[in-house]
Amino acid sequence: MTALLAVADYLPPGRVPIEELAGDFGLTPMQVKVFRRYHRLGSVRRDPHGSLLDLLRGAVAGLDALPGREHRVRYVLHARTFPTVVPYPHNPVRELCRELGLDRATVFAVGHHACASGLLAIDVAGRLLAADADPGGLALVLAGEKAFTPEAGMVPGTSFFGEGASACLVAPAGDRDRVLSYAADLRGEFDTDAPEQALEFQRIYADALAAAVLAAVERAGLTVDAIGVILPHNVNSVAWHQVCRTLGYPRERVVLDNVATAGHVFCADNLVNYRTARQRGLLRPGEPYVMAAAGAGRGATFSAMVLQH
Amino acid sequence: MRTFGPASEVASPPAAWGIRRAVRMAFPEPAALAGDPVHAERLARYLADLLHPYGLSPDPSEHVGQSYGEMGEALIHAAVPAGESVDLLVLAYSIPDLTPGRATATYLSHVCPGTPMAFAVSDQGTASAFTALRLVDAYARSGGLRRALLLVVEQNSLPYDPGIPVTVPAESRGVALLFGEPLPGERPARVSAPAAEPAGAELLRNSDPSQPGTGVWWELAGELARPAAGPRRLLLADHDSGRLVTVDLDGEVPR
Repeated sequence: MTALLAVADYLPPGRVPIEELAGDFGLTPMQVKVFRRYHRLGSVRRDPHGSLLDLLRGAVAGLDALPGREHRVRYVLHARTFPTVVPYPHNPVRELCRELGLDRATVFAVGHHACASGLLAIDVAGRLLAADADPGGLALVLAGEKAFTPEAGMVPGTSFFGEGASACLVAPAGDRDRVLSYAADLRGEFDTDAPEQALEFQRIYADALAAAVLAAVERAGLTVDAIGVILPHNVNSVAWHQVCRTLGYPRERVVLDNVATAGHVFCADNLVNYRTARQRGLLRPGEPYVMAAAGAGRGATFSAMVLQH
Repeated sequence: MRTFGPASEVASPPAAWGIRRAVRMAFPEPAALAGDPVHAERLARYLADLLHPYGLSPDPSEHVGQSYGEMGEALIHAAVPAGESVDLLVLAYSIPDLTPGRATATYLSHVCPGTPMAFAVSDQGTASAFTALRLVDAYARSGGLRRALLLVVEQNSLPYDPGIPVTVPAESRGVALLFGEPLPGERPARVSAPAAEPAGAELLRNSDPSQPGTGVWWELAGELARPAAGPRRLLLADHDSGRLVTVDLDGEVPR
């Protein structure tokens, strides 16, 4: 059963209050006030002089379990919110692998689930390792991107992207943070600019994300009562409060600590929040927890994964 | 909603699992989307911001190109038999299309019978399709699939000079391989991944280096469409990754 051997993250020190972003996105003072007071957004992380490679390198630097195991890494996956993040055929992930001595690994990007691609990458890594039937094999799953263009800077009416990254060593088996189930609801009908579909997306958002959580929990043979915490995507707090109402799940058990201070760190949110949950002692041995994310942009994906700490 | 259990059951794929249908298509005309001014404006901004940190800028004369959404939709219609549904769709590509920020695989799930689980594999050069094929096998082993569709696509436009060597495909092309258990009368081509080069296999080469992404898969689709001439074992190799794939043909794959 797929297990997370180690998790690390990197958030650059630069913080930009959302008020300073208003001009970039043409927001009125009232709209910014709504983001701060209603959505509980405050500032986002930015690394103005750093590259994507710098972000990913920062996350991997925290993976204490990697040194000495480089030769066991069979796959390196970059989970993408935006499918194209560097000019083709530049490839910063390959550069990072060269730096790290991961020369035996198959290196590729996986995505097209927008911000839910991080959970996809963990499942993909686990399937590959299981099919290889090599108990010593490992996969390195990377996530995180630059807010390089307005499309990658803000989710209209919903959130601001923050720069940062996560890194996760995935093993085909292990005794902690084992992946019990994964659910993904792909909603390609939202691949349109039609205003009525944008409204429909807002209308179904909380229900669809809650349904993904329930589907993953049921597939794991559990009920929501058994879930110790939810590690969300950092889209905003109010969206998660709505999901909690739908699920009947206590909102204080959703790790929303980073929403106001980091922003929505692309596909890295779930693992950034994993680190926070570990630091706060919220993950208890043997207890199942959920990672969940909604990806929106062109099309939408609602995903959830149940793991056991 | 697609759900998956633990990835621990390293079973073989279903007994007669293999390639049931193979389709290859060329797309000589630019995408319909290429003529949309709203799209053009959005793409121009995306590209300018993408290139700026690298000291590059878009080529103002180059605003055509293909959409993997449009190409994939055509391939799906050609490859998936009426009345059948797909459980997994994997889109493999190397060069981006004219919608670099779009979750195209999610869109293709919407237009594919069965609303399959769908995702994309990229940024691996010519090896993307080999990895995608490996993923089809991995999910077939533990993901409970009845049918899977592999789409390998490449398109012929890169609207900037990347400043490093690059091969832009001469033509926009796509290949679809439909995997599954056979219906009565079908004899699917069995796919496996040997660790070393097997004896007696015919090496299938990409005869057209101007089509780096689809080349060998284009050749494979052609071989699969030929009338059966007795058992044959084809060998596909990716030199960058060292991946080997064999395809065993002992019967006709219907088109």
